[in-house]
Amino acid sequence: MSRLAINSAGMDTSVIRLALLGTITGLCLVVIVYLLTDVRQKLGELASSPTDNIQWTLSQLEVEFLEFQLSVQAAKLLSRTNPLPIDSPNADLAEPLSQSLTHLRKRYDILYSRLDTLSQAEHYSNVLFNPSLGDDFGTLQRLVKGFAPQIDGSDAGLIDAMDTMQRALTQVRPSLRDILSYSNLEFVAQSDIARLDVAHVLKRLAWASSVLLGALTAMVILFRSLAQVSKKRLQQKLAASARLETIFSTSRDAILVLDPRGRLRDANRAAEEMFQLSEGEIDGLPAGTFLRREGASGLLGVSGADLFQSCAQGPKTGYRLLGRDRTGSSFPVELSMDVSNRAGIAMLVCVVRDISHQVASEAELTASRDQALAGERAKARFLGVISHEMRTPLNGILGTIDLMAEGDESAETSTYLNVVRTSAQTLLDLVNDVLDITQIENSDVLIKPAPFDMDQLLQDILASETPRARTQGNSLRQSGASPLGWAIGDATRLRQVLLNLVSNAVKFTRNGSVTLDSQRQGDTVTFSVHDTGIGMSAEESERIFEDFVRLDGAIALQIQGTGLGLGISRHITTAMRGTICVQSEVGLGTTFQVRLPLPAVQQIHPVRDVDQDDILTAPPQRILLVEDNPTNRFVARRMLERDGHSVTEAENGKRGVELAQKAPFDIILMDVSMPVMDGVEATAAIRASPGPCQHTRIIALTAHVGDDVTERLQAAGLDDVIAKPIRIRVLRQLLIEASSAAAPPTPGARHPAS
Amino acid sequence: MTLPDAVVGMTMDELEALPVTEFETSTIWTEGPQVFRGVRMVDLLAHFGIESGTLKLTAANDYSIDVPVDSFTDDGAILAYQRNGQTMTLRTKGPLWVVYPYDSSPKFQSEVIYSNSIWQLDRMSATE
Repeated sequence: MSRLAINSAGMDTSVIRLALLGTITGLCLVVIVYLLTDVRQKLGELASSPTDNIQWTLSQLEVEFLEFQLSVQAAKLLSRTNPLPIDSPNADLAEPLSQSLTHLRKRYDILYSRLDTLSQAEHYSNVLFNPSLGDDFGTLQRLVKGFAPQIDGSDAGLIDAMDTMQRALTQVRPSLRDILSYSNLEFVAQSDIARLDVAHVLKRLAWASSVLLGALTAMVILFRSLAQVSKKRLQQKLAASARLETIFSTSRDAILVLDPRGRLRDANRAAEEMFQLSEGEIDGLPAGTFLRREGASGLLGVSGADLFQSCAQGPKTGYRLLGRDRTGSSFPVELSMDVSNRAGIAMLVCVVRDISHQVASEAELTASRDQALAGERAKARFLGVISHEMRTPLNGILGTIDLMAEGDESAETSTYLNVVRTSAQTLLDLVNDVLDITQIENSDVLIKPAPFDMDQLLQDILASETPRARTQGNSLRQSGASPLGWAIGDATRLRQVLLNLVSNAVKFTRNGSVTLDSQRQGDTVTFSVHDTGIGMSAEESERIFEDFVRLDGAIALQIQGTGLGLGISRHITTAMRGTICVQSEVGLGTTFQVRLPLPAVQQIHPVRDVDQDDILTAPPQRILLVEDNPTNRFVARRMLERDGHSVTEAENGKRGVELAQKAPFDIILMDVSMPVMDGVEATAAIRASPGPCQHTRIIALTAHVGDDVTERLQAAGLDDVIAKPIRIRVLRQLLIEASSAAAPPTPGARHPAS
Repeated sequence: MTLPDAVVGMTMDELEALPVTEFETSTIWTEGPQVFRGVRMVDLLAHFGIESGTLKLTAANDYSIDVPVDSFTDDGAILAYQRNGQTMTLRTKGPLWVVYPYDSSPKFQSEVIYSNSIWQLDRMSATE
């Protein structure tokens, strides 16, 4: 900027210098034109001479005067020697005298003519009649002309007059000399003046020409240097401009030039691509149409004033806005900009970078960090909770087993077994909960709606929780005036949710009351579980639906739980398109409310389940048990043998396949995860090769549970699936089904009544 | 000195019989415009068949000049025998006067022309 200012100042002085020189040149030209006119006039005067040869003409006067005087003298001499006869004036003169008189008359005429010429020629008369000369010339002229009568008269008269003439001429002779001297000097002076005059004009002309030449030379030099400076500057500017143009057009960032009204004046190709602008619409496009920012009420177009304002303190970088292209889609951009103040017009130059990727990766990074941290926290919490929750029932089991091993009172055995079963059941519940939440979180909760008896369901829940309520000194009851009847919904999931709520209420209440309330409004049923327990604060209320949340109260009171129950309940409720909420006050109690869409349906005749209390056993079967774990093998074998079945064991899939090739079996119980050959592979092998067991019913035993696992195993050729741990009741049920499917039902066997 | 090949005398009548030219001009030796009548020098020279060489003109006072024949032009000098309708005497620069039309062009205003303007002319001779 400063360099340019200096340059332009240099230009200014140059211009002033030029103007000065121009003025000088102009003045010189005027002077020269004037002088040239003068010179031309003088030259004209010189070219046309105003006079003949002055010296000659003047000297001719004297010559002719003297010639006349001489002719007079000669005639006088002749007249003395040949005197004219007095008496005969008409007599012929002597020949020489006559010739002399003729010569005299001719000379007189010539002199007369000369005098006439000199007096008539203006050039001469001016000098000759000059007052400073007196009237000498006039006198001379008059004198000579005065002789005319005698000259023109008779010879005798002339001869008589010659004496007088002679005297007069001699007398006037010095005067003639004076006249000629004076005239000569005068003419010389005049000639000098004229010459000097011309010389003077020429000298002035030479001076003016020299000055003009000097000025012109200076101008030429100045012009030349100016031209060189301009040329150099132009070249520099062209080079710089070409470089800038290349930068402008090849930049991957969009470059925008905006005027103070925020209207687009220029944009590079990257900008056209970024905002999907066509070349024609660039000029005059308001910045707000393609640059926006987050305002109080949504996205606002950016104004020129905003942008110029942010550059008020100098160049601005890292200014984040939202770009919007033709299609209306927005993307984050980052602006670097500055105001270029050139030629009095402020222009804003913005370099715009699309930072979608940057923002996205930043967000992704933040999300994955948060996720990792959350995962870490969840894992720590999970391990903490699980290890604590497992310790309690394990303690029950191991402690009781110790008691049983040391003591021999068989009377207490059933009590001990009860503790062991309860503890083991608690452990199983714990594991189920964990699996449940894993499944629920990993995929959508599968809801299987079917008609069910709601009143029955509520009664079952209350029945199952009554023992615990009694232990805690709580009264557990159901309010709600009318029976709810049948409805369509997932009874299993509903049971899970309500059982969880009731069980929680019972756990957190001592010597109080727990009430289960239910009300139908149209298709929606609202269940409320109210307790008079320890309650919780508002902050706690907000957290309890998260996974693995165990409140301080629960820990202090040594209340068991994984902290998963309410999380599972929330997931299930949401999946069933219902809501769950809580109201609580510390020390007063808590009310959970679940609202679910459960449309009422007509009562369906209940299919009576197998009576749980009836112990049914299948007829003795030949069973191949393929299981790698010796404990599991032992337990299963004892269970089956007690019911009278014969059991053949195989410790892996390969061994199982070999045995199945040798002898026929009625049922094959196949563990899934095994070394050497797993259950799926073994099943496929048995089914593939013709042998005694090719079509034998194969039941999978697996610790992996879930519908997808079941489907996968069935696809592999397994007929049924039993989830571990194996419970005797389930095993019996399956064996009954298997035997009845394999052979016509035995008349003695009991079947589910219809 | 060589003797002339031929000597021709001319009377005024013979001169006046040649083609006549008349013009008005001022001269540096006279006052006011003068009307001169005479014969063009080119016509006179043509009359005598003189095409080149030098013409020697001599006046009554023995003033003489040499003029190249080819310097006489169609618009140039005349040999005047009348001034303002009068024949000229010796006193009035007669009998003959070589006069140029001085006013018609500056080329007739040089000292050479003035020198050639010989008056009181009474002889003329041509040499190759």
